[in-house]
Amino acid sequence: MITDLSQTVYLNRASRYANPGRDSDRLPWVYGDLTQGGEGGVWECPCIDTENHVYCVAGHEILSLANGNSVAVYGQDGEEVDGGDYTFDEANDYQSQGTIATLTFAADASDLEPISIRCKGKNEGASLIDNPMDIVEDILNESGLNSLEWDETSKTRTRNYLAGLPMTAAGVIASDFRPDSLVSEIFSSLVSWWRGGEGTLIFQPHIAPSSLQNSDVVAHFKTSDLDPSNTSLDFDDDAVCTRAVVDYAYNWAKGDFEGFEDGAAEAATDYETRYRSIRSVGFEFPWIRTEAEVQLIQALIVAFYKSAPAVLKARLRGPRAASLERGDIIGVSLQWFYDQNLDPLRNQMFRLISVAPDFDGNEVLIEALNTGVFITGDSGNRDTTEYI
Amino acid sequence: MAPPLSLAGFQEPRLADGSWSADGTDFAGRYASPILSRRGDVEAMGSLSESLQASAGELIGLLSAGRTGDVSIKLKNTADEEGLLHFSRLVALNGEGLVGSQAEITVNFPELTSDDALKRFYGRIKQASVGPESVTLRLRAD
Repeated sequence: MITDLSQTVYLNRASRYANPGRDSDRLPWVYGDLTQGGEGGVWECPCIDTENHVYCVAGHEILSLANGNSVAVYGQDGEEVDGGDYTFDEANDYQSQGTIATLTFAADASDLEPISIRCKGKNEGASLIDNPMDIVEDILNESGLNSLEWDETSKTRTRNYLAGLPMTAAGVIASDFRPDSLVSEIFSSLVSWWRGGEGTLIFQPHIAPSSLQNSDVVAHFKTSDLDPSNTSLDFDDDAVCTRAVVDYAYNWAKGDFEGFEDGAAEAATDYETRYRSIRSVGFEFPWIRTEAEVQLIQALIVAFYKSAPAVLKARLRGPRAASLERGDIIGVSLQWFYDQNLDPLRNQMFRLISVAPDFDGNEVLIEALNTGVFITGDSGNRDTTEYI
Repeated sequence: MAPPLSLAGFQEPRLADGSWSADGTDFAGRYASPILSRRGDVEAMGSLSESLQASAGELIGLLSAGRTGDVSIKLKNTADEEGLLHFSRLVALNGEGLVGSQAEITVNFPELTSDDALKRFYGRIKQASVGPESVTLRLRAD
């Protein structure tokens, strides 16, 4: 059975404990290194036991102090609470309701409420889970995804790509959520994902041409496969971005972002001169905590979108075309268009962004985004063979 | 085939070939323009749409420049002197591209200079659809 990722996932409530502050308070899920970015407490800890002054840091185990966690607790006035006033437990099976992370105060702390915290989140053994792919995997598994729904190859490749950038993510799930929306938010525009025809979730670095390989190409199409009267490369000015303006380092306790990057450091100023205007696009990356990571994403976005990306629109005929799915990479030769050396365009890799098969007409109407890379030959240059 | 420059109000470029004297009789560059390429490729000019109404039929309330003027033009994608399709060359991958570039529509009559021409539309190329045989550009006023 396929899990419906548009269905809301409900967090556990404080009402599962004997003496909660408020029954409806949610037990948050916490991921990554939230000691970075912004100031003060990053999320609120609901009181789950008013008699024993116990507060929930996370609705699951988190990284221990011994493995590198550090904890700073803040009262409602924004001042840090003395570490001697509370005991932190990263794995507490409180009232036998399952393992959570807790703060236990020595005395009544209701005057400090809302109590907020800054620390690192969920662990796997001695390691913090902070690769965005690992975070997504954990959240989706917790949301009920079964092991058959993963495309292991694309998952592993995406994890390695993000680790190589390097890119981490950190954030808090403090309210009930839809997994599909949350996954896109965590990937911060770096990774596209969709369900393949067999129901598996496929992940692909979106603005990283270097992550594609010849073996990714599922089908080749040569010039004679395309009807010139139904083939075009389309460009849209609305898809241009010469600088990415980013809000980042979201603070779930304050309900606002604490980091801002205007994009000037990574702007494509040469293109802005040509356009005679700054083409800014705003992004919100709540799960990114550091300026260095934001600038890395800004550079990738601007490199890809500083000129309008080419979208191939064409009508393909035959049974090979009928098997195409959205997300597939196809190698296309188009003698009517040219590469950067003004040689006829051969074996350019395009990603299918929409596919409309006409089974009666035995043809498929496609829209495919130029990935910026091509099939390479043995020498590493463009392969100029027109494959059948 | 591109029309002669004089029809557009421009002069043939005056080359520094010794046939012109710097005696004040002629002005270097006057009526000339830095044209890299000049072609008669227009297949169909769409109608220029400009309105003071934010949407069609909306006459209640204030009139203002509620809608930006735009026009679509269909051009032929024919081979240039080097045998390359002209517009395909302009959008060669990883090149600067067409989209975002400035565009203007100028109305002129034979024998009038470019200074006398009517600049009827000034804007940018918002969308380009480049096919093997023809090209459609959508221009939007600045």
